[in-house]
Amino acid sequence: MYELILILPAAALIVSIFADVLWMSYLQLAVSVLVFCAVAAIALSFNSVTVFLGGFFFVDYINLVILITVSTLELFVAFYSFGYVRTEIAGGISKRKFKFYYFWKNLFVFSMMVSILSNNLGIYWTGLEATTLATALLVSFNRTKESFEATWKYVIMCSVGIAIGLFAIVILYFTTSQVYGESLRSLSFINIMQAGAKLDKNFLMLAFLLALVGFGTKVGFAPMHNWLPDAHSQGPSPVSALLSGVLLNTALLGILRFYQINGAAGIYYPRYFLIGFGFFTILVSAFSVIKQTDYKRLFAFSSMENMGIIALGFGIGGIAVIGSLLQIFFHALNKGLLFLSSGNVLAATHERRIDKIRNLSKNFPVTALVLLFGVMGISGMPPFAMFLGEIYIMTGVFRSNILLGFLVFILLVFIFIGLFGKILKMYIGNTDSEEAGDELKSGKTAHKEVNEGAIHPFMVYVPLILLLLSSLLLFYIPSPFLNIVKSASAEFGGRIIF
Amino acid sequence: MNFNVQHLIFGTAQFFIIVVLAPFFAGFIHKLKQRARGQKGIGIFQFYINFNKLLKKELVLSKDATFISNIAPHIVLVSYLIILLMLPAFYRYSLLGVSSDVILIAYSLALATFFMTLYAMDQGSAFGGLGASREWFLTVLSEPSLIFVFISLAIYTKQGRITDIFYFIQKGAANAFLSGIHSGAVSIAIPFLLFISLFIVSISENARIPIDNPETHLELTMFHEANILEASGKHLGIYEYGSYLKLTVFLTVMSLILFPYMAVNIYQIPSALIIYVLKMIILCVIIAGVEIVNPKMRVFRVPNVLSVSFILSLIAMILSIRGF
Amino acid sequence: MIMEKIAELFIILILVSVVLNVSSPFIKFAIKLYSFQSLMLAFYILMGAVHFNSINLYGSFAITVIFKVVLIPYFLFKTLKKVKMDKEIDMYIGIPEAVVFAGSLTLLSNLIAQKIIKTGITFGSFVFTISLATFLIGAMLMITRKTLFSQIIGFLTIDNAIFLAANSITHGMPLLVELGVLFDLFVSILILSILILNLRRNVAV
Repeated sequence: MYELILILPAAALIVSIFADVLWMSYLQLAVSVLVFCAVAAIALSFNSVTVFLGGFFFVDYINLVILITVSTLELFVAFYSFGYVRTEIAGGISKRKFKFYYFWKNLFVFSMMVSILSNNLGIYWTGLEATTLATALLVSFNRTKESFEATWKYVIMCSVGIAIGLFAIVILYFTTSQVYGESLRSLSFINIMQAGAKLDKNFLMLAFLLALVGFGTKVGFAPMHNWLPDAHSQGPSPVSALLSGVLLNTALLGILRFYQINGAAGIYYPRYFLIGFGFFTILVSAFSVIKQTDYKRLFAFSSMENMGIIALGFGIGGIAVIGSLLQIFFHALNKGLLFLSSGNVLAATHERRIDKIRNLSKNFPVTALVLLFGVMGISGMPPFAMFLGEIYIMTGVFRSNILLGFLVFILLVFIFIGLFGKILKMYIGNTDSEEAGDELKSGKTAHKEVNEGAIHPFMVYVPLILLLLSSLLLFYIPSPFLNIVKSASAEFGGRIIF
Repeated sequence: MNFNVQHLIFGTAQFFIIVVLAPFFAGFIHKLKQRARGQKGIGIFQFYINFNKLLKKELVLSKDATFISNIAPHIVLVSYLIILLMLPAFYRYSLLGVSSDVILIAYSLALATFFMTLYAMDQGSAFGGLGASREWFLTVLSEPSLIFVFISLAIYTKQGRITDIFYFIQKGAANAFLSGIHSGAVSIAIPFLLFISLFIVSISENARIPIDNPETHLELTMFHEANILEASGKHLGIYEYGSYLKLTVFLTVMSLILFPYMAVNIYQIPSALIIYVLKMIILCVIIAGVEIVNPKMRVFRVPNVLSVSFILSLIAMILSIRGF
Repeated sequence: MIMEKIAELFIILILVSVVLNVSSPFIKFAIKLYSFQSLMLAFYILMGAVHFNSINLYGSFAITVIFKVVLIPYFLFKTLKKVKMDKEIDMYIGIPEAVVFAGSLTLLSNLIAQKIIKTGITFGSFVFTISLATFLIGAMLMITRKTLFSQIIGFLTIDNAIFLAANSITHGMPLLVELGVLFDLFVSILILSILILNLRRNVAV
C-alpha cells in the first residue's frame, strides 16, 4: 500500500518514454486516480507512524497532510492535462514535446513523493534537488527567451539555496552522529527525534537557521524570492499549478522537520525566525502584487504571500498551527484552480498581460467566473475553504500580538485589493479610456477569434469542480482529515480548541 | 648571547660565502633562461666579470646631481649587506643575529628602494622620474604582503628575531617528523602559504619576467632599469651587485621557509652548506621556469597578482593568530 | 599526525585556488582551477581515509574524483567550446577590490568558525574556517561577475565548500547520500549547460 505511492509514478515515468502521448494521457489518469486512492486508503486507516522500504521512508501526520495535498491536486492536474495536451496539439505543438512533458512531470511527482515520504534527511535533500532539476525543463517548456532566463534563475538560485540546506543537514548529521555514531541512523528523522534532548543545542540552532535560509529559498521566502514569480509564470499552466500548490509545501516540510527537531531538543526561539520570515514575505508580496502586469505572475506572488502566512502560523503556534495545516491543503486546491483557469485564458489567447485581456465574461463565461471566485477564495473570503485556515491563523496572531495582527490584516486587505481589482478589470472591463486605439483593436480581434469552445471541456470543468470542492470544504471537512490535522498540529505543540 | 669566537668566525664565513655566491645565482638563472630559449648564453660567471669591468670604468654624473648621487649607491649596497649579515642562511648564529628583527629587515629593503629612486630623480633625467614612480607603484603594492609575511612568521612561531624564527620551525619540524613528538607550532600549510606569497613578491621586487623585464631597454616596459639608466662606472656596478644581493636575500628567506636546516655546531656546517646551495639552485630553477613559461604581463594586471599575494599572506596571518 | 598536517596543505590549496579564481578573468582557467580544487578536496578526503582507516571515506574519495575532477569539468569544457563565448569575464567590481574583499570574508569566517567549532573536533585545524571562507567567496563569485559561466563556477565552489565541511566535522556523510548529492550536482550541471546553449541561441550570454 505505502510502496504503491512511490512505485506508480516511477512506473508511469518509465512507460512515458515509450508510450504515445495520447495513450499516455489515459494512463496518467489511471495512475493519478490510483495514487489518490492509495493515499485516501492510507489516510482513512492511519493511526500511527509507519515505516516502510527498509526504514528509508515513513508516514507521519505531518507528511500525510502534505501527501493528501499532493495527491489531490495531482489528480485534478492529470485530468486537466488530459485536455491541455489535446488542445495544444490541436494548436500545433508537436507530440514529441509532450512526450517529454509527461516524462518530466512524472519525474517531478516521483521525486516530490520521495522527498515528502523520506525518513532520511539525505534522501529528502536528494529528492528536493531532483524536483528542481525535473521542473527545470518544464519551466522552459515554451522555449522562449523569457522562459530560458526564468529557468536559469530558478535552477541557480534553488540549487544554491538547497546547497545551503545541505550544509544544515551536514551540521545536523555531525550533531546526531555523536549519539548514534556514523551511520544512516544519524540522518533518520525518527531516530533524531528520539535523541532529542541529548543533542548539542548550539549546532541544532545553527542547522535550523541554515535550513531556514536554504530551503526557504525554495519556499520563496522574501529576500530569496526573485526566481519564484518568473519560474511559476513561465511554465505550462498545469505545471505552474503543481509548482505553486505543492512543491513549495514540500520545501517547507524540510524547514518544519528542522523546526520539530529543535522543538524536541527544547529550543523554542526558532519560531521567531519563522514569524519574521513569514511576515517579511507577506510584506514584500503585498507591495509586489500592486505593480504586476502579468496575471500568472500575480498568482505567483499570491503563492508567496500564502507561504508567508503558513510560516507565520507555524511560528505563532497554538491554534494557528491548525490554520497553517489546513491552509496548506486549501491553498493548494485554490491556487490550482487559479492557475488552471488562467491557463485556459492563456491557451486560447496566448496573451499574458492583464491590460490586453478584457471582457472575459463574454467569451469565457465559465472560466471567467471560476477565476473571479477563485481570487475571492485565495484572499480568504467566506464562501471558500481558505477562509477557515486564515481565520485560525489570524486568531492566533491576534492573540499573541495585536499590533502584528493588525499589520498582517492590513497587508492581506492590500493583497486582496491588488488581486481582485486586476482580475475584475479582466472580467468586465470592456472599453478602457486609457487604452490606445490599436491595442484595443488587437485585443478585439483576439477576442473575436477565441472563446471557450476552442479548448477541451476537461480544461473548463476541472477548475470549476475544484472551486466547488473548495467551497464545499468550508462547510464540511471529512472527519478523518480533521483528525489527521489535529494530530499533526499536536506534534508542533498546538493546542486544539474546537 | 655571550661573545663566542666560534660564532664570530662562522658568522663571518657565512656572510662572505653568501655575498660571493650572489652573482652566481643570478648568472645561473640567466643561463638557464637563455639555454631554454635555445641561445648559447653567457657563462655562469659572466656577472663577476661584468662587475669587475664596471668598477674599472670612469664614473660620469649629471651636472645637476647633488651629494645624494654620491651616497645613494653606497646606502643601497649597505642595506642589502646588513640584511645578509642577519640572515641565518646555513649557520644558526649569524653575525647580527641578535638584532635581526623582522620589521628591520622589511624596512631595510624599503630603504634601499628609497635611495635608489632618489638617485634616479637626482640625476634630473625624465626617465629617472618615470622609473621612480613605477618602482614605487610596485613597491607600494608588494610591501604590505612582505610585511605580513614577516609578521605572520613572527606570530606563527611567537619569536621576534629571524634567526630564532627559523630555528624554532626547524626544531618543531624535526621533533614532529623525526621523533613524532607534537610540539605545537608545526604546520605545513602556513609556511606553504607564506612561500607562495613571498614568491610572488620576490618576482615583483626583483624585476622578474611576468612583472618586469630588465633585459630590454624599451622605455615602455622599463621598471627597474629606468632607475639606474643614468648610473655608470662604479655606481652601475654597485647597483648591479645590489640587485644580485637582493635576489639572494629573497631566495634565502624562501629557502629557509621551504626547508629550514641550519647548522648549530661545526660538524653540521658542511652538510648545511651543501643543502643551502642545493635549495638555492632548486629555487633558481623554479624562478627561471616561471620566467620562461610566462609572457610579460600588462602593467594594469600587476595589481591583481600582487593583491593575491597580499591576501595569501593575510590568510596566513589569520590562521597563525588562531594558534594550534 | 603527519597525515593531518598534509591534509591541511590540501585545504590551504583549496582556498588558494578560490582566491586565484577571484583574481583571474579567464573562464578556461576558472574551470581548470575548479578541477584542481576538487582534486585537492579528493586528496584531503583520501588523507582522512588513510588516517581513520575508513572505507566510507575511500568510497567518498573515489566518487569525488570521478564526478568532480573528471566529469563535471569535462562537460563544462565541452559546453564552453560549443558556446564560443568571450575569453574574459566582465565584472561589477575590479579584481584587486574583489580579492581584498575575499580576504576580509576569510577574516569574517575565521571569527565565525572560532565561535562555533571548538578546536580538535575537525580533521585538520582551521578546516571549518577555510570551508566557510570558500563558501562565502563562492557566493561572491556568483554575485560580482556578469557571465553565466561564473555563476556555475560559483555554485560549484559553494558545493565544494560544503563537501569539505561534511568531510571534516564528520567522517563523511553516508555513502548513499553522498552519491545522491553528487549525482544531483552532475545532473544540474548538465541542465545548466543545456540552458546556456539555449540562451546563447536566443540572447548574448
